[in-house]
Amino acid sequence: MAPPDDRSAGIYMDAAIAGLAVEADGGHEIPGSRHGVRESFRGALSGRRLDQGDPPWRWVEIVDLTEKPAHFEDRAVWCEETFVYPLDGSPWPPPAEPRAAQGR
Amino acid sequence: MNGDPLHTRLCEEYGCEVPIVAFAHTRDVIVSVCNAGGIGILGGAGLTSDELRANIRWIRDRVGGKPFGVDLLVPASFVEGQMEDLESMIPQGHRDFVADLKQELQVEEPKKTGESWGTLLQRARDLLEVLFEEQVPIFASGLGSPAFIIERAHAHGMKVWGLVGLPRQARRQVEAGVDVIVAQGYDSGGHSGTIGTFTLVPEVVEIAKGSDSMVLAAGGVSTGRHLAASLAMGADGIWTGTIWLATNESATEMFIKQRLVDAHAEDAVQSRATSGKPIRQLRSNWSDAWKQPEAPDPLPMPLQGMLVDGLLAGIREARLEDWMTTPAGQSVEGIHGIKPAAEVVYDLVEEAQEQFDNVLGQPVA
Repeated sequence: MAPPDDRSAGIYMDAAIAGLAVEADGGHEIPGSRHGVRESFRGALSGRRLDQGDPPWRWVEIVDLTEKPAHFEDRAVWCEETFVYPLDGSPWPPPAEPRAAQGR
Repeated sequence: MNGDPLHTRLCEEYGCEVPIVAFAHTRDVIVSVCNAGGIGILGGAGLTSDELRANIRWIRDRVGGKPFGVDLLVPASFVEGQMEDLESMIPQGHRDFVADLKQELQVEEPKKTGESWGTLLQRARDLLEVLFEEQVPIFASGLGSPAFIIERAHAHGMKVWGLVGLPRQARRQVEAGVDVIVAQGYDSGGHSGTIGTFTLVPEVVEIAKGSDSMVLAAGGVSTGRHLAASLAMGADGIWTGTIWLATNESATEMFIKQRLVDAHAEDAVQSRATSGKPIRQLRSNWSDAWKQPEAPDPLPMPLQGMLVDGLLAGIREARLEDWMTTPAGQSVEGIHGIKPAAEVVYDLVEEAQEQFDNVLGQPVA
């Protein structure tokens, strides 16, 4: 696993969202096939965020998973922010990291 | 609208003659559907960038400016890093079960390797870049949200469609400005949602009401009756997949086409036996074998694939037809023959028109 804050990889901490309880609709292509699978998760945001590429493709990390697909063995999952739903109705998505202000 | 219920907003905005969208992995099907008045969407998952580019150019050269698109399975989630020592996680009982099948079927086991997770996001980006470079009219996101790419796509004149299986996904995509929401019900082939098409579509139509987003009905759609019902539920058209597998142009093996014709809805079963993830597919000896009382539960992905990929490849090489299958939805019920794709389009339209005539021709009580 990458360190909690690895800006060269686009990963950074956002304390404002850490601990927020969420549900998420995930899914991915099945490697080596041309088929996909949908998966649902429930847990808490770790606060780690990933902005990949340009335009930024934004992801948040979910830990403490209380709902996950059968046989899902990992302790954490990254979900694209569009399909993440705060259980307390908090505004979503969170503001993007002010990269320009940080000179990045 | 010009008074013809089959001339929907989709036709107005995209220039197609009928509100029928065909998803297929065979480019010949795409071309035939486009030239018959519908919209073809090529399944791009599993293709390299070069293969995708070549297919796009081949299609464009044959559709004369008619709208077409490409569907990509952009991810909605991933796990970080690699699971270690995966081979050691496959239980001996599972190895024994597969070894027994291998012996029974007498097949060799050519092995292939899967893609690492590390390249997942960049590979999706690379395929999207091909769509931009080739100025594909429609990008359909078959799984994850396309929200991150909408602004750039619209700036390039590209329409963005998104498949959803839940109302909350539709709400988020409408908010993001997705042009067409494909509401895909549980009946569909491959990776389906959990809500039936007849429940999902009207709810998504309500969510999209007042926005610029259109809605297509998907999942279990294979006849003109389905088309008419979809439009009556407020959809702007239909998204279809399974019916094109049994067309003349499809690259699907002929014996699979015949099995699709012979199959009923209950023969489109969900099975984890191939990858460890549930895929709705045409029932076969393979799916049946893993349901026998003595069979172990399929392992989670990626272990199941690691366990059975070689055997499945051997089955394909040996052409053990009863053991081979294809993803298919419950709409197999509506497939009654192997026909040219254009004829399927015309039949859908004719039957839908008959339904509208029947309904509108009846006196109101």
